[in-house]
Amino acid sequence: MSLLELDRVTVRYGGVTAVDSVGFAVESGTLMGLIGPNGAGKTTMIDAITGMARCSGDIRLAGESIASWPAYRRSRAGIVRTFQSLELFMELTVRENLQTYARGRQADPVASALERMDVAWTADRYPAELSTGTARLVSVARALAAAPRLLLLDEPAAGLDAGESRRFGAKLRRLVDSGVTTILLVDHDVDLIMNVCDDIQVLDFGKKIASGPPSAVRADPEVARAYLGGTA
Amino acid sequence: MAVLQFALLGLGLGGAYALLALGLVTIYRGTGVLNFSQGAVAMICAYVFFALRDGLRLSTAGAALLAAAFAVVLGLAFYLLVMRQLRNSPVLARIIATLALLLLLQGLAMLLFDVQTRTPVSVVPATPVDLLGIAIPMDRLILAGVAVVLAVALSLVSRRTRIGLAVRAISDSEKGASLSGLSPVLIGALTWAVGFVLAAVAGVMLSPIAGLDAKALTLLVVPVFAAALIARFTSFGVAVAAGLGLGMVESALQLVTDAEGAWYTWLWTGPGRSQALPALVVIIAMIFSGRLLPARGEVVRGRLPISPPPRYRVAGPIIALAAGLAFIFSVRPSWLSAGVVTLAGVMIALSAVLVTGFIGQISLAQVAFAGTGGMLTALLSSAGLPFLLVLPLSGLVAALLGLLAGLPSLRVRGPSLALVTLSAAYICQVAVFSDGRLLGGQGYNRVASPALFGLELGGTGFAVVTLVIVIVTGSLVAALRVSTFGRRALAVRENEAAAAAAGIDIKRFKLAAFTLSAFVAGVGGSLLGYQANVFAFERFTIFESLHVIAMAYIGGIGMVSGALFAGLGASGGLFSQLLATWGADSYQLVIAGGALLLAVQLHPDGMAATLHTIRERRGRRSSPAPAAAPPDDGKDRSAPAEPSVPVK
Amino acid sequence: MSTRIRPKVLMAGTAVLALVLAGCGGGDSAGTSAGTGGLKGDPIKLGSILTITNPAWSNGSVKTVNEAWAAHINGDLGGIGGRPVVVESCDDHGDPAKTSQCLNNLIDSGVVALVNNSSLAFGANALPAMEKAGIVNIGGWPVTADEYRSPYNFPATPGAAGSYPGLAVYFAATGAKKLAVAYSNTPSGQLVGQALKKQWETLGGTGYFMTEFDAAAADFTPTISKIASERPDAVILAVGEGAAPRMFQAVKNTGLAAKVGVSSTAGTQKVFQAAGDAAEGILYAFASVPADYDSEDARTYRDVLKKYAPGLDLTGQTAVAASSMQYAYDTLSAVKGELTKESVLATLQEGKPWKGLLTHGTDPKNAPAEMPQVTNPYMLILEYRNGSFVPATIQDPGNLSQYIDIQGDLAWIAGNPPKS
Repeated sequence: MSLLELDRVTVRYGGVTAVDSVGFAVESGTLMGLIGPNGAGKTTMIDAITGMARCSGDIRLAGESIASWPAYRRSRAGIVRTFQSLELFMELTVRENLQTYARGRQADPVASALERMDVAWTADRYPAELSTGTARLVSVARALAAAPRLLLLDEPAAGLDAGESRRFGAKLRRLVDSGVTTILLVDHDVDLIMNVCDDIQVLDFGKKIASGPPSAVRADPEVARAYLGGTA
Repeated sequence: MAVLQFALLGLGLGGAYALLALGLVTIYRGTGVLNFSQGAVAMICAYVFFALRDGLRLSTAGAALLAAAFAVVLGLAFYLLVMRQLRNSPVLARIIATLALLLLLQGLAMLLFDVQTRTPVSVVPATPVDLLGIAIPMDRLILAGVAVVLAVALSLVSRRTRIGLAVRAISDSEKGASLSGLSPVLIGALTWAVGFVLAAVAGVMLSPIAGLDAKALTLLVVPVFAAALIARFTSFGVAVAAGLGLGMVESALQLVTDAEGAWYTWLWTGPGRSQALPALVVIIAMIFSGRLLPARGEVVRGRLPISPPPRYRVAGPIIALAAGLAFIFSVRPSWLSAGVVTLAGVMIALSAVLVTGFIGQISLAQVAFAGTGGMLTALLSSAGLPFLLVLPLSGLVAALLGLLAGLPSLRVRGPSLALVTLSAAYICQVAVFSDGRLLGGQGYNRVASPALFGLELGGTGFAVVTLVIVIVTGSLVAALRVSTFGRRALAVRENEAAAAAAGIDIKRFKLAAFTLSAFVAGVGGSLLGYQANVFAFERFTIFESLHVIAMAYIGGIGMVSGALFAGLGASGGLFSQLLATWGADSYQLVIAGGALLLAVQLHPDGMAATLHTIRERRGRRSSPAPAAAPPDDGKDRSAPAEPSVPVK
Repeated sequence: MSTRIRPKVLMAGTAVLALVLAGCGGGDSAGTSAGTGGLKGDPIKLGSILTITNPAWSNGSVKTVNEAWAAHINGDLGGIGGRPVVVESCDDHGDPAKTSQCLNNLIDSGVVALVNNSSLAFGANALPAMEKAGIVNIGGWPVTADEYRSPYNFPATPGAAGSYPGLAVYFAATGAKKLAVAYSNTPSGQLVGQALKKQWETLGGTGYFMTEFDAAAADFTPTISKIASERPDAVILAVGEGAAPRMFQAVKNTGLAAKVGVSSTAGTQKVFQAAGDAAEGILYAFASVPADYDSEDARTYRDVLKKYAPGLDLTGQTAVAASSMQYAYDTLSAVKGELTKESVLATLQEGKPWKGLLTHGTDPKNAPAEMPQVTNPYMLILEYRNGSFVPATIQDPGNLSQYIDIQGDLAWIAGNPPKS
């Protein structure tokens, strides 16, 4: 049984179909990537999975249908996300930010989450005092503090240079390999995705156009056409 | 009497609503502000006009010109000196600013003019005209007509002229509009000037029909908001239609609200039922439509007043207790009473800190919760229940009302929620608290003297008990702030999406906040009842609610110390007593309004917060913090600690 | 930054202005009478809680009469036992919080009694506190039910309780069968409606209609139209001075033909000027004789006020105020021994009748059963004609003679009849 199963999930806003009958499965202990050109519906996909956007179709967590659950309930069940715009609580310190998410049976979920992302030194600072890159790491740490079964990352590497991006990818890889969590990673950075993901789903105009391991996706002509407008 | 004929008689009232709603819509379209002081502006412009025409004996035209000039100057001044400075402030600040103007104008009117209701001679002919068999004075029809004409004029300007286009553009996006060369300042100034002139027209035309005094027009705020709401604060035509409609329905309702009957008819018969209708319309419309106020293009994520973790959580209560006891046992009875009123005011303000300061839900109904507590106290104590039982029971019933009032907060927020809670408070004021039947038919209800363990509590005894209760409550609220609850509250307050993603059940949280806050306010109202030995229902009006939240805002609505400030400024409290001793109590409204206007700009976080920030800055100056960068401890963060995983 | 300096300058300026105004504004709420008539003794302090700056009700003239009559007592009557009388009036703005504050401050300043309480807010909010403090109120214009029953309240006139029942009796005695009543949507207003309903049945009336209005409403035409459609023989409007002109105009506009009765509070120059000819023929329930009446009491009244308050408009309110002050003077003069709040209470509890000044006399032993403190339940019905008040006559009291006391050309009517 997969950790997350999506079954013909469709999201409509007014007259626009942002996500069109998308279905895939995420296995526990893997790093799944989700890519696609601008406007493909990637963030909407995350919104649908976390309950922040209404959708039709079914979403199952470890076999149980969660499509009717409100957002907070899905979070408590172990599906935790980050936001493209970070959405850190500016009036709370980093530690307090993590405390609002903190859950789980470990001794100190806040400290361990901070350690994992190498941002322990920010604990008593306010988000406004941090650089963008550091803030991004903090937002991932915050989600980690909730001991998620499935961690959904929405463009976490935006604005990172090549080196930082590589290091970030390595961190994610470590999280998955050491069994801390399963990750669904949405990003623009194709290199990052190709380097660290076990499996990739590709969206375009709300539809799934390709899926599979990085090598298969890299060679898929549909993908090239979507990104470049022509055959590779 | 045929319903239709009765409805026609409501055109006078409806014309009032329509004209005032036009001004409201104009101001909202141009600057996105809900102007709670629209009625007060109408009032003071009317005073000016009639002083010029009847007092100084100017011609009608001359007086009208000067009164219009006055309205323009007032609008420009308010916009440029106050609202413009607040354009990036949180929505609560802007609401408070208009409330401040309301208080200021009312105070000024009472100071400068003879406030006794008088009926000035109408500007337009008022001879009765026969319409469908009813004699309707012509001025009502003219009033309705003027409203319609103005609506048409405004619609045309909005759609056909460049200025109108500019206003519509600015409504959507101030940044975008300003980049295209339109000056937001010009548009804003124009909007407020026009809005205030509309109010002046309303005031001058209405006074002969409704009487001119410092309160009547100001009080029309709830029904007028209902009309503007139905128009979604965008359409002039719908605003006028809604205003006229509401007036006519209210008048027609008088047919049924008078009938006497069995207890279940109490829901629609009795005092204030027809006035409560527009308020009910507001609440129902909001709940079913979610967001009726169109969001403005500029995303004002203005910071809410800060809510720092309270210091002196041990020293504070001890000092308060010592100071309080010293005060209680050394002052004269009049100051003691003022002190107890202040303490009750602190309770009510603490409830505002809980629901608005911590959780960010703008509630203008706190005093209505207090009133519920007071009413229950009268009923229960007359039934013979002891003080120790009545206090928490009153709080519990108030908490139930708070739960009910919290339901709209699940659908709406910001100014919409402010309107809904204000409407709920209005319904309590006109239809519940003043309903003699609920008060046991005596007209009002006495509250028995409080007794503790058989001993009757005298003035000082009761004051001591109140002091203890308030200090305990304040400490608990402070403790809440540093608890998990407080952290979650601030999270919900700041960012509901992120809070939901954290697993916080937002709905349950908001409801809990309202319930808890109403409990505290209810106990405050109960204490007031025991202090005066009577349920003084006239104390629990919407104006008191506005007063409390305004005062709490000046003090710092996110902080317990802010509640202290609010209690000091409560009516009948220590500040009021001080003014009375100096013989200056008629200046209280002017002082409060003026202080609010200044405070909302200079201390947007509240006075207590300013003190806190000063302390922080002094602390930081003596020990500067290092720049926020990773510590230089030799650890190489550029390379991964473990061997890199081979790329798949 | 230029935009930052302005607010600070504004703040400083406003603070200075506020302080200056505060300094100059002294004496607003605590007015003391200046005329001590050269008497040297320890002043006797009396307090008076009034609603002055309020849209619906203004008793500023009561304050003037308080001070004028105190000056008269001190200057012409030699004070009380050689001591001057000082009346401290407090304006409560009709605000419940302020009315308690007024009471507390007056108690603190050592008053032995309150006099002439005429406040919208007092009865409902501060009366219990007054009782707790053991202080009496002498005279004044009672409005709420508790004020008619409180053992510490001693009005010399029936107040609002007398106006409307008195009018009802008058209408019944002059042949009206169907009565319509409009009252304000406040608890005390509702009581008026209920009480009148019961009374009309007792008086033998056959039809009764009552309706509510909101004193702050923008338009009274709907209310009056409702009444007009019921075709009553007589109408009673429980309305105050502020709303009266518009009420009268609504009556005129709807062509309501019945006789209309109101209380004396709506019988002031302000109302007549604003209502114009809409006030013609309106019946007023006064607790006192008209100011221009030909009697020794009325002459004294006119002379005293001319001397100590020239230019004061003489209304029903000023007459009641003068009567109350005289009642206070007569009572305090009769106190044996030291003047304290307890001795004043004791003297009043003896229940000796008082002959009245411009008003009907009091008879404490025979007060109406439901209102034991209303020792003078009598009112006069005056009709407003051509700018002056004319006493309305009753040809034949019939079976209502227990309500009516005819003294010469005055037909005093007790809405609630005395016990005997």
